[in-house]
Amino acid sequence: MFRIVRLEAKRSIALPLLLVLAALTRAFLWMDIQEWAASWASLVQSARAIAWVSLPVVLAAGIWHGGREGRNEVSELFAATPRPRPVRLLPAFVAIVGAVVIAEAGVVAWAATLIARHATYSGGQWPLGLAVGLLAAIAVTLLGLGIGRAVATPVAAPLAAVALFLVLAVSADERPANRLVDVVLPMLPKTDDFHRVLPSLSVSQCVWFTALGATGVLLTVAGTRRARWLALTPAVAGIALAALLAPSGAIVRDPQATALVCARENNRICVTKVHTHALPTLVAPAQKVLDAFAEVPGGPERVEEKPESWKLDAAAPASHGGKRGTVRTEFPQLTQSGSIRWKPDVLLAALAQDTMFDEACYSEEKDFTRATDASDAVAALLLRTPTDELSPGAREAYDTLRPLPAKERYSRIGEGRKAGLTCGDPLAVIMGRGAGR
Amino acid sequence: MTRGSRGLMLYARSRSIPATLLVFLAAACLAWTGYLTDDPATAHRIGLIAVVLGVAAVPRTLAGPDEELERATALPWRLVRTLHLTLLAGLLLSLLAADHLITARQSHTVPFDNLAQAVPALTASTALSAACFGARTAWMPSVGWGLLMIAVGPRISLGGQALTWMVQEPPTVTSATTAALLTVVGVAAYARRGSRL
Amino acid sequence: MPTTVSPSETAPTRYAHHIQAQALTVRRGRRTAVDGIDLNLGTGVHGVLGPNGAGKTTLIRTLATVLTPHSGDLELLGSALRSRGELRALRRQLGYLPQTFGHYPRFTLREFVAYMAWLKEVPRHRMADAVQHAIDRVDLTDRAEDRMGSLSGGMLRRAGIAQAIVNDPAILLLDEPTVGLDPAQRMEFRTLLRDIGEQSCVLVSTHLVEDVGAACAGVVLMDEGRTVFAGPLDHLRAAGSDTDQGDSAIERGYTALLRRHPANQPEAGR
Repeated sequence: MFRIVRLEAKRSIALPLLLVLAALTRAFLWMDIQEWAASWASLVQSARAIAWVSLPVVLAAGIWHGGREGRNEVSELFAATPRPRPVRLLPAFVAIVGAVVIAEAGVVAWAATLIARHATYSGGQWPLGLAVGLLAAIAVTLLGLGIGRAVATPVAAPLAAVALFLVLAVSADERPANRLVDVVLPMLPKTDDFHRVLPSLSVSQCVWFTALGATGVLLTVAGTRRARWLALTPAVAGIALAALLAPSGAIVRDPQATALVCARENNRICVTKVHTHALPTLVAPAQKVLDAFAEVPGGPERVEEKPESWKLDAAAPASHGGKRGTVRTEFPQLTQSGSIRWKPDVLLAALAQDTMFDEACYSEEKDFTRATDASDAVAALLLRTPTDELSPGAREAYDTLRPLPAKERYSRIGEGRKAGLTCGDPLAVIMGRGAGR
Repeated sequence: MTRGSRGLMLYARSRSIPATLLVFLAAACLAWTGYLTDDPATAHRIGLIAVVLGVAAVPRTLAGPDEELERATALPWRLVRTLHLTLLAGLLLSLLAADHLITARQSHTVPFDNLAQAVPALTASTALSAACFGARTAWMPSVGWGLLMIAVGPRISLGGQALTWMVQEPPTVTSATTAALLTVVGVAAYARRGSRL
Repeated sequence: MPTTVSPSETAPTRYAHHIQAQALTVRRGRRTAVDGIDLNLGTGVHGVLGPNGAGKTTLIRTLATVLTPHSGDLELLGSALRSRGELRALRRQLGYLPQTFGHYPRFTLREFVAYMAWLKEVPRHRMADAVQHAIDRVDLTDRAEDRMGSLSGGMLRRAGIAQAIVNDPAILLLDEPTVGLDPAQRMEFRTLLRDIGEQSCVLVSTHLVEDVGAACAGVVLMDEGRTVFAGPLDHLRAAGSDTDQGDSAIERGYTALLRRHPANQPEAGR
């Protein structure tokens, strides 16, 4: 049997499939390497997301191989042989499914080695998420092999590939949020570093994909028309059972990932556990900001990372008034090793902005510009950032603040900060025209 | 039924033309449903997938069941093959253009330039694959390339523009040249050599 | 290399004839392709002759266990093929070359014959030798590593014969095996047939009368699903006279017997 598996690996579509699938997976997964470079949760998200490219390929390959006996008209010859049909079909199945596993698991394992070096939080059952992705690929391959045997037309493989691609591509764009969709689609609902996928979703997806694979196998060994129709029952039963098992909200916040990890020297500069590698880059600028704002009445005493990301949580003004003692910042872009991608001066400016106002307050372009002007002026003053690039509004605010006596200056800045964090108009406050709500 | 039209019917049946026409209709329906969505990006994507769907049925028709037998006959095969390609591509393009006209009031239809470029060039690429690899496997390079272009999206570099010619909206000089080249080379290769045995 | 002999090979045969059929009837759709045929074929080479549509291919396919008979008794190698196990055991000793020899063009010749050997459950320790032996016997040793798709028509036919004999079958069924072979190859093929016919029962369905004349000991003549004649070749030769059409004695006998078995007068077989 092993010799025949080797023969099939050489002569069937297994080897080209392995190469094409590995190349595609590697190319597409590395396309957004910045998304997943330092966090397991993001790797699971990205690795599952490329299913819309890889599954049509394995489906087409499966259907193509399944039609091999029909295309080459060997059924007559093989009908007179003693080996039972399932045993006869087994070596090629092993070769092809093996190719899929090696390609997908190999590339994902490669990506995992990149993460393993830098990840700081490995909770959230990420192996389960990756395993479901592999299972989905195997299931679709088996389904393809079954369809290829059942449907004799040569145009089945390209049509099925295009159809599957259509379904997956459209659902990647517009995805209705209900349990059935969450179970059936191989791609995960949108998630980020601070959330995790409930294991019950993964379990129900395992049930669905196993049922799908079983349908494929039954279609392969089905001899009569009736048997082919009966072969569809596992898929139907699987989808029903999986829909029942699936949770209604599969993406939940992960408190262990969002737990705060603080700098050793002083407990006042903290990041989330999953982004621990951002801490070294953060400490110096954050300390500068804390020192600069030390004399501002009601000024910040801590710098923390916001456990909400722009990807998932609709931005909401966090607290109208509460927690003003904390600067809440976020890092949309991390490097492959998990540290902050921004240059130090950019980071400093971002921290200054987060100190002065809450971004979520200002949805209008005009208001946002005003708030930015205020924060730029304060940053130029307190942090001694260069003043040559200030916008006219910011320069005006800067010139208003500079000649003021220190106490008055700090008080205005404090009031401006209060306005910015409670969705007022910080620029007006700084210019001395009152808070204005 | 005259001898000519009967011959035409038999030719069509030997090449599975009726089934291909069904697929063309399906592609047209798909393109039309694409225009029902609100998101222009999704609509464009569905429109291009419809093109790939239609073209996916063409390679099957590029070779008869017994090529050696057919080539020994007296028919002017170069002419027949060229006509075959032209008629199929023209039919698919007309169906998709009809969709385009019907839904013209929507703002987010696939631009007609792209359709007029994509259908002939992709069909010619299946013909080229058939001439190089045989009609049975000719769908692999063209359908694969088509879907890959849709998945990757338009690229800006010169090489990227040539490689993602189908999804460049509006068509750039490089992408239009690539499409035109593909059309000419594909039709010429297939007309000359036919599907590889 | 010493060959091992399994006990089943030295066991005495429990059957008189390899192929034994009584009133065998096979339907294809609504047509009765084989209509009440009796056969008793043992060791040796037997030819099956007949006009097109006589049911030769259907008969061969039924004997190859590809088709199931509608009625009648069929015993192959003494087994009545009642259970799946019996069917499998029989097929291990069967060699079959259909009229359209389907194959995988990407496989090399050796690989395809080895694959067929695996499908015929040739014991693993004997497989390499059996494959080499089969390829040598059909004189394709120098093309053994070439892809099947690159073989010419005649070579492909010989490859088909190779896969049919790879498991040293007790019953060998060949449907039009000499199509595409040149005269020298046909002569070699006849030698091969005679060689195999010394130990096995070979049934060759062919249109080429010279092949029958040279290689076969007995002949079955079929028309419209019925046996017109079944017996030694000499009897067939004797059945014809100078007034019958034909360039050889066999052809004259063939025409004579078919004339006596006209289409619109169903006669009992034999």
